Amino acid sequence: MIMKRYIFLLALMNLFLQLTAQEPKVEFSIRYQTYHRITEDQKVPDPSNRQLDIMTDGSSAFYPYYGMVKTIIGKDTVMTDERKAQSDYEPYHVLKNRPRQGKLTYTATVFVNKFYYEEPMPEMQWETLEGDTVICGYPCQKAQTTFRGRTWTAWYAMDLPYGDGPWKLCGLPGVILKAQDALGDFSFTAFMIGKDMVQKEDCHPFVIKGYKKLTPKAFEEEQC
Amino acid sequence: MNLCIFVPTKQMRMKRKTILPLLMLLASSAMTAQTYKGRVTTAAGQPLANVSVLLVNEKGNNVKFARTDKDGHFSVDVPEGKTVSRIAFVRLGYARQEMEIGSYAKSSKTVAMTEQVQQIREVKVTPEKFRVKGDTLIYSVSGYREKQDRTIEDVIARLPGVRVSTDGTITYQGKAINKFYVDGKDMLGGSYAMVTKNLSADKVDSVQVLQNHQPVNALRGKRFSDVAAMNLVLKDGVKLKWTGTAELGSGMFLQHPWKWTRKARLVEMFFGNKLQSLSMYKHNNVAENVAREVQMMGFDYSDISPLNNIDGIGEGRDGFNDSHLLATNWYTKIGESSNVRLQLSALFDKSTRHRYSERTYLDIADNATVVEDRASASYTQQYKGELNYSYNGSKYYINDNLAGSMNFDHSRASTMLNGRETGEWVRPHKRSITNALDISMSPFGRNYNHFSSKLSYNYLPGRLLLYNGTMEEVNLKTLKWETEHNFSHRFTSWLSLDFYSSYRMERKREHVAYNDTLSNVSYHMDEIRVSPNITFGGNKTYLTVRNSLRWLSRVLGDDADRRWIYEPGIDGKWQMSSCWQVCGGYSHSFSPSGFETVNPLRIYTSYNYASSGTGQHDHSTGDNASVDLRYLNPSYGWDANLRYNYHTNHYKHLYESQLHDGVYIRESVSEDNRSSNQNISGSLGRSFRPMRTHVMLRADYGWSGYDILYDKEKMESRMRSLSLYLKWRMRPFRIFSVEESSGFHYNHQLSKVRSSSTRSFSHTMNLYLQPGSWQLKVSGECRHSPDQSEKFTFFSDAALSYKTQKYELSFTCKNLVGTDRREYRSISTTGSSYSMTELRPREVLVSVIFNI
Repeated sequence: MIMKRYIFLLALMNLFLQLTAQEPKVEFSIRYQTYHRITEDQKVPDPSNRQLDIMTDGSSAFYPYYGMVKTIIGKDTVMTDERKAQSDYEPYHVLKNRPRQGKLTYTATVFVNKFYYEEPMPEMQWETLEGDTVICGYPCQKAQTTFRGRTWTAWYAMDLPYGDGPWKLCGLPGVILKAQDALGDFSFTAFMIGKDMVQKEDCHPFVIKGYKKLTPKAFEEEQC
Repeated sequence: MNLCIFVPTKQMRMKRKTILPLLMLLASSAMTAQTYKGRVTTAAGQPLANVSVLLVNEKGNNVKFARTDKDGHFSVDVPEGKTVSRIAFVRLGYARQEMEIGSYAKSSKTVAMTEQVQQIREVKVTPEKFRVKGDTLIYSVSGYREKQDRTIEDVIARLPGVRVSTDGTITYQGKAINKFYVDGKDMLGGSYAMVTKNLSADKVDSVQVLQNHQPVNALRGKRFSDVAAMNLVLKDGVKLKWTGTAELGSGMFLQHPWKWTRKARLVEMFFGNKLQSLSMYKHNNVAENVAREVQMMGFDYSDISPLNNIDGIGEGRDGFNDSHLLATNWYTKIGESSNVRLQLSALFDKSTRHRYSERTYLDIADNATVVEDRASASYTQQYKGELNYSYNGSKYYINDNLAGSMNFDHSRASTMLNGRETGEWVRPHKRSITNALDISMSPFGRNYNHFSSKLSYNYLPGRLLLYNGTMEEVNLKTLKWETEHNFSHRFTSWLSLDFYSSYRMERKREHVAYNDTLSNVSYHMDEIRVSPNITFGGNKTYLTVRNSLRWLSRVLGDDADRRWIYEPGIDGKWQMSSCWQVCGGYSHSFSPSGFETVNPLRIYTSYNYASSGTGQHDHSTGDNASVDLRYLNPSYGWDANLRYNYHTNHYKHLYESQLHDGVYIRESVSEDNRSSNQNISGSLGRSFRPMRTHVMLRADYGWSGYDILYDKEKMESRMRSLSLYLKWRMRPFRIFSVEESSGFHYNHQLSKVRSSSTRSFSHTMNLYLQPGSWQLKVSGECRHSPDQSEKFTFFSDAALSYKTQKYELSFTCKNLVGTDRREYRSISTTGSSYSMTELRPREVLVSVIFNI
């Protein structure tokens, strides 16, 4: 009984803390050149730029960076526009430990509808591999994991000791600066690391107000 | 997380009972696999969570890692088959701790971490400045472009391993490229300078160098090529719509002869999937050379001396021109793999020039000198056309190229020759038509057949006014037909046989009339050649042994010469790594002397210069050996090469010369003699990331020995030359950059009767100040010599421009100090000369460029 009350009190306190907590600051940001293959027969994956903001409280946000987005639609028609990012084919955001600790929030916009789902922070069993490289001047080491049926290879920088990375990838002793899946459908490569890189006009989804919550399964159906 | 507090329940306790033996089992297996456990705390002893505990091997690579829990406890086991030498503890905000695994195992296994403020190193890497994809090197334009670069040629010239000569020829690692594509389409054939000199760098995303490029699809992987091609990848917004450039400028000379100057340029471009086109009109009288844009770039041009243009002064300093150029190029794809290309151009130019020269011939006694003071005006009218059809399928290749050109040139000069007034007039017209057909077949296997046939007809009717007032009329008609068949069979992946057989025919008829002399001469040449070549190795490393057997028949008038010739040769390439490459070769060659040197008719090629041949068949035999070492590593900005070349030649004629009243006449005399020349050259380039620095050093040393006839006696003559060249650029601040180049040129000629040498220095410096959309360019050029072979000359220019995405406004002032002449001495194998050229005076130009 005492225990239950104790838990309840703690929960209340946590809620209070969350409500009054100040907006955490961005510790630093990393920009990734991202390639996504949307359809299987696509030979050259679509490029886009995405940014990962790592917060002072250990949370992070991964979202499209609209500085120099190139969008390829169809085979030949090509659109380029610095600000045409709203037509990004998949403007998804990945929030880790945000807005709730221990949870991963994934948001997406389908037409005009905004959805999100929440899942526990993924626990990836990384296997360290032989091999190192230098990305953006940071020495990186290689690791591999299997996450939801895909084999991912990642290069992480020990000089940036945060367990974060692009998309849902995380759990290494350093920030992942480069990652790709074995099939070549996705790849992320860092090209810029720095502070004060958050731009006002960028879609920085720290507030999920106005997004409709779905279960991961329902979310998948909605996307199709 | 906060909610997740571990509260042992009854069920859990139950579970623990079953888990315990399991854990023990695990522990026993871990005994063999080795597990490290411990606890991490702060300096004050508080438990520290989320610390990465890393097991590191001897190379410093992480073998395994784990994180501490909220009590600071961790457990990490060594994966099977791995050795661990150190253990490290890493957490943000704390100093990294690392120790030997042995000493850790003996310690108390509690690690205290001290706090430390960590700084993030900020980096910005331009996304993928340089990439390699198989044999293709991809240079991103944004990665190599400097702010002052306007055309894509300016950017191409900055790529490591690539050089652009003043006439626009692009060479990669010392070899001219064999194809130039825009978005994978060969719209311009050999005259690609039209695109490189007019396409704005803003419109290009990346430049690709396709190494070992085989343009024929059917021969890919079958016939190897060690020549590279270049492809421009356009930005997305440029494709599928009409783009272009319009430029208009006007200015004037600020000194005598006060003159109005102007410049106009209209360029239209379209780059589509099926259709590409480029048309333009260019006009200027500011000494910009437009003629070279419609010239064919020498594809087989081998860049032996890197310092060919060291004597030249900066463009736009001499010559008073008035040029108009009209050109149109169309390329269209028909179906999947065939295309048609049409190119037409017309060039009109009028140039005037004033030059004083004193020339001393080496082979004439008494130091006789020809003094000329010449004010000339030359008129050019050139029409060119080219039609090309190409089918480039996976098994067959057909290419037919029909090209024609017509030149209606004439020039006039009033000349003082050794103090005597002489009028000059020449009309060298030219008409030519050429058809070249290439067929390749490779329907199956590793074999292929290649067939080519080239037919050309040249008609050169020329009229020349001679020193004595008589008119020389020369009509030369040439018909040439060359046909070649090449069969190749590949036995294994490292052995292949190429069998060449060819037939070559040349018919020449020349008709010369002057001074009541009327003569005709005809020349027939037929040649059959078979050449089986064996190649060991593949694309990257190979050795080719060439054996060529020729049957040559030459008939000049009534004199016939028929003979068999054997020419062996060997060449090879060894690609030691992706950066290092060495190639070399030896060949023996037989060259029949050209019609011009055997022709017995005395023909004036200039109003006071005539030459005649022996009238007998003549040839030279030569041996050539060369070795070339290259290093290229664009990721680190290194680019180096070293080349040595030896050439010796035996021939059977020498010239006996006479000089009478400023008229130089030489006649061929049969005499056995030989010449040899050796050349060693090297270059080293390096880019540095700090301040975007690039440094390039080139050196070239050559020495040669040859015979001349001096007073009817054979005399040995020697020549040595050395050139050093240093070029560097730097951008110390975002808005300020500097480019500098310096050259030293030394020439020495030595014979029994004479010895002369020249030494000269040249320096060029450009400073750019580029705040925002503005650009101020200040440049200086200086030439001097320690021994009077170059009179001190200094030029200075300034240009101010304002550039936006759509337009650019600029104000240029050239030759600020008003240097009006250039005086220098030069040495060649036949003599030495002193000359003085009148330069363009101080001038200003205001221009506006619209980029559409």
